[in-house]
Amino acid sequence: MNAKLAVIFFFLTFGFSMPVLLGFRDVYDIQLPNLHTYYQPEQPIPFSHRWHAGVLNMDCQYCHTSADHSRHAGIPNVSTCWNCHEKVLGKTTTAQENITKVRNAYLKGESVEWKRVHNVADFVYFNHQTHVRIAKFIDEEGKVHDGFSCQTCHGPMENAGVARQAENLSMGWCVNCHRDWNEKYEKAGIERFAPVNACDACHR
Amino acid sequence: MAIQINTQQPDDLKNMPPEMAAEIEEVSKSRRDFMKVTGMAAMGAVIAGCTANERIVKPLVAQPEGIKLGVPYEYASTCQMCSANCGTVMKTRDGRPIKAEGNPQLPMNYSGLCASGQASLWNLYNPDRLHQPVAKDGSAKTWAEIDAAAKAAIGAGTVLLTGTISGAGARDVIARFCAKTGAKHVAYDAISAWTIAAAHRDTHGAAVIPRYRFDMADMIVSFGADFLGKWISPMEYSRQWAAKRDLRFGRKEMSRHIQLEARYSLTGANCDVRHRLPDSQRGAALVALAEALGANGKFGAAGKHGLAGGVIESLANELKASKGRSLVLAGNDSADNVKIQKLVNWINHTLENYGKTVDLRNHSQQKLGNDEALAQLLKDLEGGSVKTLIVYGVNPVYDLPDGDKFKELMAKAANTFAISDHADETASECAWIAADDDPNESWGDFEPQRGLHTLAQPLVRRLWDTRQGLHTLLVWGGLAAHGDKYYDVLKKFWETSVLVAGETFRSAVEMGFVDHRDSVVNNMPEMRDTGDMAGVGEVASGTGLEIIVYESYTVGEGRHANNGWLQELPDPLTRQSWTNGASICPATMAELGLEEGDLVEVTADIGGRKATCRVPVLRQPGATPGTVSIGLGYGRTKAGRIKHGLGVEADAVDEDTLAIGGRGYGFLGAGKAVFGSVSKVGKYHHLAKLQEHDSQEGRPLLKQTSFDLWKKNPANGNTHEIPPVALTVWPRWEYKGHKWGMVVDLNSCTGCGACVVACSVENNVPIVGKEEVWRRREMHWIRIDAYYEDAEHDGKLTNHENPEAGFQPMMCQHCENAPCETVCPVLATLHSEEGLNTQAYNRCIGTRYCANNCPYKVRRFNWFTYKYADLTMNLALNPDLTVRTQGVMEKCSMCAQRIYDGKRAAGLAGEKLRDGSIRTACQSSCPTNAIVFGDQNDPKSRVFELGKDARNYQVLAEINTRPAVTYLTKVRNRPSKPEEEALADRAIKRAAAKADTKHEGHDH
Repeated sequence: MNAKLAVIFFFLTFGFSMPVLLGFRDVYDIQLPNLHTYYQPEQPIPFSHRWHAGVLNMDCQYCHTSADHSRHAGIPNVSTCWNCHEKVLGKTTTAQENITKVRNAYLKGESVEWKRVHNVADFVYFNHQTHVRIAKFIDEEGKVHDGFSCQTCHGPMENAGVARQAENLSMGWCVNCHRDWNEKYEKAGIERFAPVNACDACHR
Repeated sequence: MAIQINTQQPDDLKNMPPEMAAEIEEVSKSRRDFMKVTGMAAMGAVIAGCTANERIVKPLVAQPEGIKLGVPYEYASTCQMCSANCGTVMKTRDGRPIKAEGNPQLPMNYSGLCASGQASLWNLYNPDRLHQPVAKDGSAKTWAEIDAAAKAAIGAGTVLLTGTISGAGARDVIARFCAKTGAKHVAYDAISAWTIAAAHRDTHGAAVIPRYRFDMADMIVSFGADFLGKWISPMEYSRQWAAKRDLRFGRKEMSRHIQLEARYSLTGANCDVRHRLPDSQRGAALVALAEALGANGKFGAAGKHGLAGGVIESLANELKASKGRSLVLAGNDSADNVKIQKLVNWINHTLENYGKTVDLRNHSQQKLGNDEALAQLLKDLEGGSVKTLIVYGVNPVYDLPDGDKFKELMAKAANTFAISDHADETASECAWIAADDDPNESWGDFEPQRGLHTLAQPLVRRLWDTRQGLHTLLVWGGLAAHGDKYYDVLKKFWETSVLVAGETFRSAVEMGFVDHRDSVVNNMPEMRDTGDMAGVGEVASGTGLEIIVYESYTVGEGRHANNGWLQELPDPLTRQSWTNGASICPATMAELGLEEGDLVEVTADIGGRKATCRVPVLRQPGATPGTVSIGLGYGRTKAGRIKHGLGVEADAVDEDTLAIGGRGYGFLGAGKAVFGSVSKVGKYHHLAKLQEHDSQEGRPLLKQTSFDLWKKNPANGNTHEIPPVALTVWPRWEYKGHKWGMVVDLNSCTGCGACVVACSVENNVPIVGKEEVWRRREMHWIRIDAYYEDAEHDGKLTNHENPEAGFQPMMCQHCENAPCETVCPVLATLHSEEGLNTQAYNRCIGTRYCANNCPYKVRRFNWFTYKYADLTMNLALNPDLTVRTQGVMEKCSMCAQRIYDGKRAAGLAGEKLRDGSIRTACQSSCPTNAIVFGDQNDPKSRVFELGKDARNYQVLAEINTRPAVTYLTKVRNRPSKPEEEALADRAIKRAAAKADTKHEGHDH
């Protein structure tokens, strides 16, 4: 009897949120917000951003090629890795093992199944190009630049090892930054590209 | 260019390639079972939010050159949904086409693209297409097997039966195939225009269909030619017709268009003066007109026609007054024949229209079917001289008047092959079916008008193991191998035979066409004598009702009946979807004791052949009494899953509820008016009408006036008194930056429905199926309301004889004082700083308060999650926009994704937004440019200018919603109606009274 009551109580309490939380995600396979700051899944190849972006000082967009012209930043094609790793085989044993993995993938014509780190919900239409190339960034000296640095949202990736989520990517986090910059734009007299309060800028 | 489907966006189903999507379906099924068992535990886990959303990203091994991830590319191509072959621009993303639009450069249809052209993507991703060559029993075969069988069978005694093939390269392939194998080529059109060609053969010595120039005609008289609906080249004609009647931006000229027709056609609804004339009396009326133009008894006596006295005389006078600037047309329907068309030719010749509005030099090649050759083929089949029959891209068993007989005759041929993309009624009777590509997967060329060559290019890698039909013919004729590319054949042909100095194949592909119309030598002879015209003026008679069939505005001739977007599109006038019907005028319905929704059997005897069709009755005000009209294109039995209502198994459902309608082709082919009977056999279930009420109830929703009154004062027709707003609780919005708005010119809108499908494709609007439409749960973001002038008022018909009809596109009005915004309990619908009424789906909890509070009824609620039954269809979804799920309200967003794309492009170029650089989906589909979108805060924008037009008005302005969408009064070039005069008088008196009070005020 008590168990039955508990079930009824449970459904009364959570019944309304169930379709949203359970139904959407599992029946329709929809991505819900993933607010995991510091989310760092294990990757098939422990690619080091510190080595490539930090020590070797490679440009982010050498690999994430579409960041400045598309909605998606893009995960590099295996052929991009091959550009260097055709010749670069690695010095340490671990490095050699990992490089062999990606070389084999290329030679076999197979892809690498990376784990996606930065997940915004499916109903959010974030655009990389807007932020990296079009939005105006005003530096401390008051100079205006086209586009923000990748680190603004992704943190100092050049110091990270395997890719890790630096911010929680929640709507509040987005909107706070937009509001701050809105004020700065108004002060600097820069025409805004997108209204900060429009829902349809991200949700459509 | 074959592009590999990109697999780099696995975050949602919509971006999945088909094979991967299928896997996910499997997983989610098992996941659901799992949930049943361990639901509690899982629920707790989800609510606590401690699961990691682990997602796999699988990049391509190498990115195809020139293709950047997530960036849309546009390619010029040619629409092949019907033989009009309009130019298109296909938007592709990550290797898959997601939107078709008109080619703004092509001097034919320009940016307009009709509903079926918009819906072409459905055909591409349609899972019912053949996936490989098959034998008659449905078993899969290899290309080697079918090629071997075909090569053995093809030789003397082979007939290749096709539809219209206009392209120079394509015709060369067929000519080479026929020369090599000894085959004979026969072309026919399901909806034939052969009578026009045959008439010109007799009168001008060339069997061609002229290119009609509505943009040069001041006076258009159409005897049942539905040129704005579905007639030879409707997009081109609509554009030309509207260009001559556009009163925006300071234009002051308007052509006059008179329609004489039996059924209520789309063209009839848009004309200035419509006369009801049964098709049986068309010849008589034309002879009378010819007499009035000075025929002197050349065509014999005119029979008795039902037109009021003086109509023909005034027509003749008006036509005489605009010699060389007029156009007389007669439609090609069941009552049409060569003599009638010859008479039309004589009238156009007498009016000196040849070489001006009737162009034979750049004649249309959009209907090249030859009915006489088809008749000969039937005889040859009967006589047994046809050994091998190849049916390519046509479906004669369905669309010949006597399809059943064709089926029997086909069996007499020893070998039968079909080249088809699905196992239709004809292909399934053939021993072999060579699976054809979708047009979006293959190369092609077309010549819709003499001298205007267009190209089609593949936009996606072949989804299945199919082969382009023309390439199949080359292989069967021993002219190419299976692995060869048709591209090489086409390129070689174009470089040697089509392109002139200075043109390259590459530039032609980029543009989509080359225009050599001006260099075509005019070798068209002058008008000869009309020859034997005996009996042209006779009135056909018979017992029962006159039966008229016409090409449906939705699924067309029926080839695309398996297209959900087209099935759900309502007929513009009768407003039903998912079926055709028997349109009868209310008076005749009462006489026969019929009600709307009754299932009737229409039967006729056509030269000893019994034609029959079962359809629901539709009430059609303005139809000619004593006639019944039936749309063609429905009644397919082997179209695909759509006929079963979206793949839902039709268990325990009456056969009548199936979405197939009735096959009306049986009534064609008589060459004179067909008479038959209509008898009630039951009730049609779920008559899915998208609009039940067709009266404005005296409210000025669709305002209209006459051209005379408009010339006196452009504000006439728009002078309704609106009570002043005494009190409002809402502060006025202040729009500092952009203020998006839209102006719809009702004078240009023809009600064709292209925008409805364009919107559905662009915005991932689902189709809901017949029963859900019947429950008024359609999802269209934009609808086109059709109103009859005073059709029904106080339950009585005040003008059901011949009411004028008007169309009003209705979408979210983006009100400034939006009633929906104030009632949403969760702030899911909010006003943006740019004047848009935005809807955040992820916030919406589905209370439906907003829809209930919307005075325009434009909000749509997802009662279910309308998933495609087959996930291949998901490739047609627009990745820039959410796919909504059950329980969410949605509505027009003014294509928010396009607005941001436009802003981004401007930001990238470092420029200010140019007016016209952002075009909504409805706007860009419109053949008549009726819809204009832009920034109302920009004083140089077109919407700003149109906002000041005296014809501009808001719908339901009295409730002070202050919509961002406004309309322009419809103007008809006909004598003013008393109520229009009265409205204008009232405005004058009001202005005078106002002046008086002002004057008095000054005195005191």
